Amino acid sequence: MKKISPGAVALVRALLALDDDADGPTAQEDVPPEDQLGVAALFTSLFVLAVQRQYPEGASRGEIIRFVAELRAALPAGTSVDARATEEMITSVVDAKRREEIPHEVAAESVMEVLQYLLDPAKIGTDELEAALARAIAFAEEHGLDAQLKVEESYGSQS
Amino acid sequence: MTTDREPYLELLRELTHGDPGAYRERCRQLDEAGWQELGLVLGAAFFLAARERLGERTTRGEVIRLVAEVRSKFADTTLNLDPELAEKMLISALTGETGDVEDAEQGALLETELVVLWHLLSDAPADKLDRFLAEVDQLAEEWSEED
Repeated sequence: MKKISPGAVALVRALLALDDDADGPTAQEDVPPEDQLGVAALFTSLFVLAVQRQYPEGASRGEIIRFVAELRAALPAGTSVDARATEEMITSVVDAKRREEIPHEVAAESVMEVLQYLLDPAKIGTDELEAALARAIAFAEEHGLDAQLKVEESYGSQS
Repeated sequence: MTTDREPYLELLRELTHGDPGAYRERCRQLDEAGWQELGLVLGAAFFLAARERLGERTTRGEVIRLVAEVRSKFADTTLNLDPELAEKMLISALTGETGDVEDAEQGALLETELVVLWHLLSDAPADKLDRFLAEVDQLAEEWSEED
């Protein structure tokens, strides 16, 4: 088990709007390279856990299509996220048999938008967001830093 | 209706009102005769149906939800419409601005029109559908005269 570094946690906290430390990291480039894998593992863990929490009993494709539509409808004007890629990202968590190859940048955007939608502190409260982050840190540390992939494999096997 | 667009208008009736045998036969006949007027008729039908379902003050969210409603009906099939394209097409029908869809692939446009029309028209009563198809014919005539 390898610990997620404080720098990685600080960046994720900032991106989730949990901290507004002017001197803290606010972008991937602000953390040293050795922390960046931790950031990716932490975001993946947050995503997997948030989707599982949203759909503890699983979800049909129709439900996922409508969920992503609600998420996109709530986005501010001028912003967008790839609908089908986001549906596939969620499906890969809900249905371990399915996995589409999605370009990294598109996947990262989808993950961020889903997290901002599901973990919006205005909706779930700061305490719940802190708890979600704590669960994600434990999950990421349990599954190892060298992968994002390990986290993904445990919930969505490569097809 | 006795125009040369009649086979396409009837195709729409058969598509949306559940006569798969007649629809398949119509497709076979059009395969032989050619599908020249299909784009014109579907475009006019899509334009009118979109405007009837979505008002001038429709929000982006309403368009997104409508497309999701259509796509979720096909969730268990291999059909996977491009939602962003379908949304742009609906917005284009409402605004009359075609810039966002001009570069779209023709096959994707036709498929999207057919599927969305199926959704928008399938619960229309027969007399309403008759009136709608007459309007489509008239608009298609106007558009063809403009070209």
